[in-house]
Amino acid sequence: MDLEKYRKIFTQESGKYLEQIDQLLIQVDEHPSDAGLWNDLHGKMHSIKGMARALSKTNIAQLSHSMENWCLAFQNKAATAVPSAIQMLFDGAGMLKSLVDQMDQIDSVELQERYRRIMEQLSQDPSTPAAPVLHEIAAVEPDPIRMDPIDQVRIPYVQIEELLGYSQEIMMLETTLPPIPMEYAIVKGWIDHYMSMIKGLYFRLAQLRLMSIEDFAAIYGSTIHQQARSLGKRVSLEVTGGDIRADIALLERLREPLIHIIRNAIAHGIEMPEERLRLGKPEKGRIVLKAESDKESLIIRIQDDGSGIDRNAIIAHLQKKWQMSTEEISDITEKSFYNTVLSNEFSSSKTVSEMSGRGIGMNVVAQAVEYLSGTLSIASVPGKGATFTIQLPVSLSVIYAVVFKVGPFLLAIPTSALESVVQQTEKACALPETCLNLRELFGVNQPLDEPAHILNLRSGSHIIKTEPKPSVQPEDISWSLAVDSIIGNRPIMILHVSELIAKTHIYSGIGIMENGDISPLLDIPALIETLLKL
Amino acid sequence: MEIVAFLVDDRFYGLDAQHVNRVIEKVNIFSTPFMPACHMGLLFYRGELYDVIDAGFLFNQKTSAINSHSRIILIKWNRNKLAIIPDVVVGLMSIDDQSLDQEDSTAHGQVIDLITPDSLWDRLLKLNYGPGKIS
Repeated sequence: MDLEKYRKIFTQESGKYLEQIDQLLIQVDEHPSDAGLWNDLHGKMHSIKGMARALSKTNIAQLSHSMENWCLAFQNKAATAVPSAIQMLFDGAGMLKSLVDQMDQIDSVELQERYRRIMEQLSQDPSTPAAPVLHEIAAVEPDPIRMDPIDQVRIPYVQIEELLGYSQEIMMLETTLPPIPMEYAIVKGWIDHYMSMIKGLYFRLAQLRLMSIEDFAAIYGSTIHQQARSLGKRVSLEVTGGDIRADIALLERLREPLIHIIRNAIAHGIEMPEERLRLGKPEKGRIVLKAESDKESLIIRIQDDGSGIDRNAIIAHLQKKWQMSTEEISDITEKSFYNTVLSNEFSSSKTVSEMSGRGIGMNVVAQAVEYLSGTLSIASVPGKGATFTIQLPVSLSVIYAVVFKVGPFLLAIPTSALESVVQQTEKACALPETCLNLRELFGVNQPLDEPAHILNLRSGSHIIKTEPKPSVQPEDISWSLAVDSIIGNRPIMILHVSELIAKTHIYSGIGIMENGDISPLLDIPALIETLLKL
Repeated sequence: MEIVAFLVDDRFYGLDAQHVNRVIEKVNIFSTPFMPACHMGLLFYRGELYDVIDAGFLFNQKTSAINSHSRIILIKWNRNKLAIIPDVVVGLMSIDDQSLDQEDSTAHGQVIDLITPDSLWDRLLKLNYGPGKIS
């Protein structure tokens, strides 16, 4: 193995340890006397130091050594971990990240000064920065270092994309396969088997694009902690539904909107510790990131237990900007009332400062969610907190769907939305009124090869969200779809619809089948709604 | 600047090469109902979905001369992706940077219409989508 490979491993492994160090520092901040946590921290620092020394990364080695000494002192109760000392370790971890990113190079005056300052402070007694020395640091033998087995590797996302690209190009070679004479049927059989294996490989590689919500939420941990600390607040992040997985591209697009909501919650929702105690709340604020998936949509809720959104500020805004009377304001729904903060006018309004900035940039958040064809709704209870709910059309994961053909179109609907599938006995059979003839709807003229198949939809899968025609009660109707032929019940990877496709309003996602074929996923309620409007 | 030049109905067009992700040979394209006539469907390339646009139909309401030798220009910019199928992909050309402010330029004696991905996108967004609204 050459040195370059060692360097890559060093970067990957150090990154993993630094993430764990961040999490551990958050925990020791809560439990500064927990020797087990300090032992873990000390172990991670030691691992980084060892790798850095092996590669002659002296700056990283020296810094991690100094941090390790501090952790050891706290672990052995030779010093007390006061908040400023823990903050010092946070700063040190941040510096380590910078050094790892730059492969130990300090290439600016600012970085040099930052490094010098941190090293200077870490050279002092760990109890001295802002608190009296309680104990002398005892010279004790360190505990044996516990090393976690390496059972995971970190690889850049772009590398997954590259692998997907290669496997796709291998699949494309199938189209250039020259005709194979009958006498070589055995070769043809081998090639078919080879291609099916490649397609399976491709499908599995594609699933590497999925990231768990738990891993996604981990990127917020340090930010929340740091921001709360800078404001003199204490906030914890809880994650539920962390095992749900979504496409990394979707999560990347959600990253900024979510951090915006969370920052607002910390800055303007969560009260100061003393205020919370006065109100009978736990001293520490709580933000919950909750993920749910119902096969057809991914729902992410960010809930805080702060003061809630200031109703008076919204009322003042509605009166001033829209000249609404008190009566008119009382007539609008709670949802519409709080959605006011999402409007562009509200965000640029001077009233933002009057409501403690809760609306700053929220229009940007709404735009980002809209881009993903999702919806954002807000609920708030004064004194209890606010909840932001983001609903996205599909979970961007692998789902089972019934794939079918209508003329030249390959389409799909989630299997969970189907009650049954039946084939008509004759091509000319009349369709019931509650059966949507997709051939007719999509303008397909080519003749049917065989009698149509009828997909009977499960009740509740087609509830119309908006006002239907007065004469129709869609919720009471058992809808069905007439299609040409059924390809089968297949696992498909769902990707997000493009902005152009979204303009049709009838697709909830784009399905990619194991063989690479594309089958748009129909949004049943939207499709029925479209039909009712015709 | 370098542009990727292509031919549509005997007229040259150019796209800033920095937005061109790749030029590929024809792959499977899956048509999608309710889309405008210039929207040929979707293609999946290297883990990403592209809307495939018939440049001839978009520019001149005249279908491009698409055959098995046709090449597809994959464009990625900001967060958008498009696959353009012209009559012919001419290739990379260098033009004077001062031409950036002009709607057309000349390279190798040819007048070239310079187009931006945003202008293509705006044109596409103005089309009609949905049942019975094919444009």
